[in-house]
Amino acid sequence: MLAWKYLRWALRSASWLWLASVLLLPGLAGAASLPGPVHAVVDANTLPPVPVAGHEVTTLEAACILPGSAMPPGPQAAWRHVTLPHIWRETHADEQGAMWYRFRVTMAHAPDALWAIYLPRAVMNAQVWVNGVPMAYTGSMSAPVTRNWYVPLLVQVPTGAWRDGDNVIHIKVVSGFMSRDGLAPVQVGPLTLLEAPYKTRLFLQVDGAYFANTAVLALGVFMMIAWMRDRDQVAIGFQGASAVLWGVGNSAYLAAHPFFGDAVWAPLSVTAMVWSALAMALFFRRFVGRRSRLVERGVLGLMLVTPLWAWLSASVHLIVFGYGVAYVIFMVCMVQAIHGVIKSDRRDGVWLLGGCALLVPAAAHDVAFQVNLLPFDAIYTLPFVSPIMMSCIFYVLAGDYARSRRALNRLNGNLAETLAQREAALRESFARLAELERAQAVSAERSRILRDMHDGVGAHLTSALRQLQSPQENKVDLGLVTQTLRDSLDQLKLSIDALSLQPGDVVGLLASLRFRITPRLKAVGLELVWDVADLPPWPQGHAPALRQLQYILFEGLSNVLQHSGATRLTLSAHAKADCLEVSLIDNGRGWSGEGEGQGLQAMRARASVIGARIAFLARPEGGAELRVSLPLKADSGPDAELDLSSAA
Amino acid sequence: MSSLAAQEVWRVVLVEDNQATRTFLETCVKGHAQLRLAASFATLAPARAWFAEQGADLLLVDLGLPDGSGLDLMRDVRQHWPQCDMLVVSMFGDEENVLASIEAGAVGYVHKDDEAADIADTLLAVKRGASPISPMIARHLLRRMQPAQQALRPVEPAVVEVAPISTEVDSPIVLSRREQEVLEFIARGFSYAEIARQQGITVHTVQTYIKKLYGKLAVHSRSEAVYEANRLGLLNHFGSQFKPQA
Repeated sequence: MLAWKYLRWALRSASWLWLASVLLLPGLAGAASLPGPVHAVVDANTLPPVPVAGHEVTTLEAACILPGSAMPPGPQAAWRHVTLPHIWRETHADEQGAMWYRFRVTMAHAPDALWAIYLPRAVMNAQVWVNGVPMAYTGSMSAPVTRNWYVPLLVQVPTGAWRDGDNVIHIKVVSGFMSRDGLAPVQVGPLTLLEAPYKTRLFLQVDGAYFANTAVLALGVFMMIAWMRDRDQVAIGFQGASAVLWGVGNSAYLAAHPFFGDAVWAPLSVTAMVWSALAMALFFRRFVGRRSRLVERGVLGLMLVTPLWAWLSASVHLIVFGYGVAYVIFMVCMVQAIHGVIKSDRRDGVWLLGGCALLVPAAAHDVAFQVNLLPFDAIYTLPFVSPIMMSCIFYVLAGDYARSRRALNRLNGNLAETLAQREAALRESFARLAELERAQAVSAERSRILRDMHDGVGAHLTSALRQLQSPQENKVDLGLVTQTLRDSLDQLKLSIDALSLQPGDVVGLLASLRFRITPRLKAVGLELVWDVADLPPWPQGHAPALRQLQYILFEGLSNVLQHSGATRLTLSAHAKADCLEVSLIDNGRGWSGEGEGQGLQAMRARASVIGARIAFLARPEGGAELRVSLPLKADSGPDAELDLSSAA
Repeated sequence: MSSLAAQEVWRVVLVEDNQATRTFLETCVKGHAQLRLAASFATLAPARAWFAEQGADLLLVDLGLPDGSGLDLMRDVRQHWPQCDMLVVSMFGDEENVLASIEAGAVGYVHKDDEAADIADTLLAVKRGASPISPMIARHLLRRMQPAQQALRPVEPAVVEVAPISTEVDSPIVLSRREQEVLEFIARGFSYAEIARQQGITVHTVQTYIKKLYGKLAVHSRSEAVYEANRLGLLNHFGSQFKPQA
């Protein structure tokens, strides 16, 4: 199953593999053709001069070499004959400082046009002498040597420097910090012909490499910022760090004039490169969801010791060993990533595989180059392949981001839609409920008003009508009818007052009652004693209950006015421990009159409806007291069964 | 009031559409030596025309007239004849109508079913600087003047129904401590005489407090109107530099 997957993914990545082979395999194939060195000591003049023609470029592939002196040594010095490219280590192990290369060319006539000598690769810096005359050069030839180890040099030779016949060219190459010193085959010819290959090489080794490097740096910074804004995206953070470090390290290698001395500069560039590889290794693991703390800490620990190692490593071997460790970790993690991608059929995984398919041969090529398995003037591929690889990875990550954003948008869209639906449904049900409640309230209010009209105004108006229709038409009691109509109006006013009473406001009820009946009391000359204290709210005193209380008191007042013959009436209201006590006390004849039975029964009935106690008492000094007790606790009211907290 | 003022005769204008009530009110006015019926109208238009020409000492006006509201007439009269005291002829003396009348400039009201003598007394009392007020109106005003949570104590008991405390725009009316006390007594049902006894002041003083209160309410309603007009952008003349940012 997994094997099949691997096969499928290999097929999917086929175009990448093909691309890698086309771009890089020719370079690898050339690895075998490294010429063997020759080191016999010879008289430099015995070697035949190389003929050069005025209209073509001649490649000088052999030279006499001699380490040492400041000035070009004479032909009888201890020259050795070598073929180019020549690497110092092969003939002069541990040689540092300068190496002279001696060429003899012969030409029929000195050239009229401007000629040049082109050095595709001289490590680290070189100066050209023609017939004993030093040519112009840029940079430093003594420590710290200008780092032209990867910069092609094109030296223009003034026409006057050449002679007809034999000419001697000396090239002085100087070494630098831990460089593979040496010289690649040199070309001589007209400037116009040499400019093109020089420019191509300059672009590939310097300008283009800088350009690609800047791109990687920018991409890395971009990814770092993305990670900073979303710290959970650790994979992006690692990849960004890797890209930035790669850019920094590579720039350090490319820079011809370091900011600091070699002691700092070289470790800096080495450290950056190793860190870059390790950071990318961590990215690989995170990318496929491997998040072992132990491994990550181990790798981070390696990163911590990297600068120390880079700074302390004096020998190339140690440096190579360090790189080797970092690259092995890198490769293991990369294999894990590839395995994870294939196993989980990760989306866009082919881009990662493609990137790796380019990166691995490129890295192999560059390592082979570094260990002299490739021509001395080969060109590093990683500066160009790395940006491609990192772009591939970024392409995958950006795809993840775009997909999650789209998913979120879809989710939001769905959510908003669902929410809108729910809201609409809710609003509708609320509206229905409100409508229902309103209808209920209206109907309750309507029945209350109807009952009110029936008990109050209606009853009185009917009475008035009956009184006017009395059988003895001539003896209509106008006073009685007027009284009944006044009662009716008073009831109407009281019911209007009741509308604006606050729930439980017994004092307000009594005050409005007094205000309404004062004209009546004045008319009959009844003195009213107002003994109303400030009362707490009556808990059960909702609107209908207050209205019932109004009826009871109005009925009691009517009784006093009509039947008691009293001259003084006291309305007292006080708060007791468990109730509000409202009393109507008169100084009249007391509860003995006729026809009161029905009125008292009605009052009793009303009182029981609102959970109030009512008492008809006789005063010791004569007169009657109507006492209504309004309970302050719910337990004695009609709502008692609803109050579950009540102990009684 | 000096004795000279007491003998003064007040010109009364009457606006009432109900024939029987108008006749009754006319009788009330005519029946008192200190009152003279200057004019009597059944509709708003002729009354307005009359006040465009001349004033009066007292205006007795019904609110619901066939061609408009008595409130409009009162607003006009208050503006042109500030000396004219205005009373409303009310059926019930209910909160809503009385408050609207006070804010339109009324200083009192009479009930349609009051006795004739009571009506004449009320008119003269108003001229002497008194204003009638009911406990229900007093309670309403107290509610309006206090923050909701410390309104009259009998508010929000344990019953389920919680009536709205006040539906109109609540804005504070500033009262003196004495005025506040008097209002509280009235809200509890005490008569002017009882209040005067309790507070050690004269009944007349109590009545003056009430009339002042009426004035404050009317002024209050005016400033509210200005504020409201400003808010609605009607007074662009003053507020033109504050363009609403649409």
